[in-house]
Amino acid sequence: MNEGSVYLNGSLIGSHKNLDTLAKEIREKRRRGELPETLTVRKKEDEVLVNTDTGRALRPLIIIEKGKSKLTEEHKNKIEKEEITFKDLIKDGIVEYLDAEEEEDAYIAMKEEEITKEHTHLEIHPSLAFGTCSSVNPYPEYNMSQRLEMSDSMLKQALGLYATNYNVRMDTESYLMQYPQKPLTRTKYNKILGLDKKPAGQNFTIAVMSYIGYNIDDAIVLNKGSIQRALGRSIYYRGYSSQERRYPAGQKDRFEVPSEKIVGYRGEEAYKNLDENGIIEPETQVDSRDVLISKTSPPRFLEEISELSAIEEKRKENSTTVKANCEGKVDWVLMTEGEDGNKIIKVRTRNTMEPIIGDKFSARHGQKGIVGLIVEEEDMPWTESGVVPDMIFNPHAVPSRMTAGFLLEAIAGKKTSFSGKKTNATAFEGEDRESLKKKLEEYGFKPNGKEVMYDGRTGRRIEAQIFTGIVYYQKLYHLASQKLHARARGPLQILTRQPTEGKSRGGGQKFGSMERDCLIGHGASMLLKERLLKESDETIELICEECGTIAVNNKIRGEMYCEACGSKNIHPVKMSYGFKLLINELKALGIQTELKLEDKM
Amino acid sequence: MTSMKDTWKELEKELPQRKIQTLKENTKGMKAAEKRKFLEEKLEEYRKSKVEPGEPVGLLAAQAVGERATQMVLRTFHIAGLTGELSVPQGMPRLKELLEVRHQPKMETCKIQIKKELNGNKEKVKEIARDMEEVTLEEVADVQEDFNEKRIIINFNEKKMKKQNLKPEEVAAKIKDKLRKKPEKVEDDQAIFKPKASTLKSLRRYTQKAKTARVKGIKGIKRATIVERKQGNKKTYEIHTDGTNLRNILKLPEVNSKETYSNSIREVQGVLGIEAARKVLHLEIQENLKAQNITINDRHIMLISDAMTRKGELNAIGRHGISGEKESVLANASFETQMRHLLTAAQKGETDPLKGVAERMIVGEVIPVGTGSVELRMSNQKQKKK
Ligand SMILES: [Zn+2]
Repeated sequence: MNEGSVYLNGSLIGSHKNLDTLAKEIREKRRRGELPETLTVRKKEDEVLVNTDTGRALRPLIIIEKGKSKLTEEHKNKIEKEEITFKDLIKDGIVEYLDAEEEEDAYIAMKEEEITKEHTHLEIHPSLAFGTCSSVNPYPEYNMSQRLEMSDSMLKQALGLYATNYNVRMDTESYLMQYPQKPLTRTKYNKILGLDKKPAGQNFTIAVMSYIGYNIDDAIVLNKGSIQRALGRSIYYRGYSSQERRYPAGQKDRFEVPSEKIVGYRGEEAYKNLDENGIIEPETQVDSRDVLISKTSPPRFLEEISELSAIEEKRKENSTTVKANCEGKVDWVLMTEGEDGNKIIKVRTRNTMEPIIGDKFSARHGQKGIVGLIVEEEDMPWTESGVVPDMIFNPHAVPSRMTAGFLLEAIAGKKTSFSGKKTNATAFEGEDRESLKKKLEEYGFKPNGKEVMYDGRTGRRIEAQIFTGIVYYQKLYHLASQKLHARARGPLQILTRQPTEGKSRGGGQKFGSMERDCLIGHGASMLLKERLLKESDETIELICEECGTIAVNNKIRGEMYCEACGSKNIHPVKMSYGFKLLINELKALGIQTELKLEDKM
Repeated sequence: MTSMKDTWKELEKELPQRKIQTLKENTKGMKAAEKRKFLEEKLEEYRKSKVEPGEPVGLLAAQAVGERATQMVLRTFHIAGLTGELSVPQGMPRLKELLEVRHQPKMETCKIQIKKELNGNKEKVKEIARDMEEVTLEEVADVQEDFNEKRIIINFNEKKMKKQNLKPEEVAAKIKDKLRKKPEKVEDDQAIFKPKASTLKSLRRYTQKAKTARVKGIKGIKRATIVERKQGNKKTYEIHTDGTNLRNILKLPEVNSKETYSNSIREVQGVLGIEAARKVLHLEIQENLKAQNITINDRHIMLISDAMTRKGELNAIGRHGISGEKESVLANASFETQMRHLLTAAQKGETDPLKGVAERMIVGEVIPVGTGSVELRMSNQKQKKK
């Protein structure tokens, strides 16, 4: 007999004479399906905790009864034949969910062979300790958890077949890898998750060595020959859409090549690729800011209709143009109708992206790198048998990160390329190192994966033996060509007249407060003035000496005067437009500022 | 060849008297040529270490401390488990405390030096420390409420009373002051009070008052430990306290008031004045950084502590302190609470002379720092001469 209190979701709800039977009964009811499957029970010394609330991580385990797993061969066969599903197993009380709290009461066997009488649960598979993303990684148990986590987040950035119907989709932006491959070294989950049907990466032949400093600090060196054979090639699609909208008073947008009279006419040159409807032809090469769909819109405000003159509409140019850095070929032009009967035209451009210096690649072990150099095939090192690697990987990237899985994958990949059978690298059951070594030896390689290599530039044998293998690499969507940006002159913000910010607005590099402090610290006052004023928002304002307000210049009459006091004692003063704006804003607050002028010398 | 005397005279033009003194001490016994060379080198060093005109010292101090302080957030050494010594908050929290001149720092401590004739006597010092510690009634007695009779029964713990060297009469007298009521009964092991409590609630309040009543020690000293210091063969003892009360500690006849130190800047300012506070601030920042293995040129810290105390009162670094009280309207307005500054300036009709860095940058002028601190002017006289 053990009496004690009972808690439901952390609050005391009562007491019970026999806690053991209570916990047991609740558990049995849950297994019978009388209580929800997400309810968990924990029996402590003198209390029973029942939890049904949200936010508990639950995991499924097979129930063991009387030293025997409830999951029998019969079940397994039925699952394989797809007669029953996982949900049926839970319904039948063969598998149940435990949370961290109830796990304390459980004694879980890792494998079926280990089961003793004390065991209460059996793991479905040890590799279930990993999440969805981690389970896709080969040999995850050999890697550090932080590296796995990085690899998981990069898996999501990999370019691949993002959808099987990509050809008929009109996404605003989409990337597509060409010739994606299934990984040679793989886990069970590749198939289960359907990644075999939509792979996101390619098997790269790598050599682990340095290459005249161009793969320093995680950089990688790529083989130009491989790139020309479409290694790491992807397509960038960009969709544009334009609609013939209706306005009140019967006005309408029109798809048409605008006439010269229309406000915002871009010149004949801009419309040269369009047909008579103002729509671009497929397979036309377009550049940034080229017109794709030309459209004219009615004026925003209706003008007063005078009785004498005929109504002359002043239409505006309202074309859709190619965004900056999105040049390419027009891939697809679509004409359709919206819900409200408006004509819609969609255009998709395509641009093939070969790997260039600065593109990001990653193996599935958190080993990401940037392309540091693309080398002519003849300058790449080759092995005794004439194999030229696709990529040169820096050996320093491995020891400090402790990604042993990367090395194992390389060996496994090498083995696979000869055996023709994919290597299983699922966590805790993958093909082990000894077996890989043995197989490599059978194929006539050194068991440690090293090979004699020759320098492509000199033709000489490289003194050290080079570790080579095949590793599955992903191209990540951080592409250098989409990030490249520079500005010499460019647009200004309307309000402050300072340069705009951000790549999409053609902005400048920010000169922030810390950079400013640095210049002050060095006493470089003149340079600071140039940065903050000359290259930003310098203006000349007319100031009235009498009352210190901003004066006006009447260019028609050729006179400068103060609107506040009428004085003609006006002086031009250099200042930042930001300060002038401040004065105006203070005025809006009801604060009058007065600038006192003084001679500089 | 100039004589040595002339050389010294030459030096006196540039070096402060104190430096001359140390140089004279250090060059004793040197040969003339050697001495001259040495002094020349020192003079050159002195010139080099001087701040150049126009150097933005404030900004450099801020950067010097700020750069290292960002690292301090990441790694703070905890000095734990040192017997006897009290642990003061370290690293970033303490530095923040110091620069913001908090009213209630986490750990205020006093390092009390005992007068020379007593500081070797461990027992005596222990006694002084014990008498200093604040003892509440709760600690030496069991306080109970008698709800029926509406009285408070205090059962003295004989052992604890003896340890603190307390007598029931003394304690009862202290409680009497606190409750403003004479005791009903005082015996060796018990004292009974009957306060003017009509309800149980007010009785509870009186009990609470009695429990926390200080029966012994100096107010604010939660703990006092003695620390051994070795000077050659001689062992001396000093007292470190948790909590400070410098004013009352200095009143104790056994205390060497000249060398007793408190780490509470506000308290030092109140008791000893602003100059002492400046020195303590300087020492505390220095100590704090040293404990974190951070080396910053001492002059930066001196400048900061000077800036914080220059108005004769303690000014924190930050919005409510020196950063918020610049002379320029624009500079103040550019640093947090903008509207308030602008509106008050407008009300008073203030004029901004545009002398400082921040305001000149807003307007778009050359800042008065470095190359901007000099101006070219035409000399009328020279032109006339031509
Ligand atoms: Zn005027």
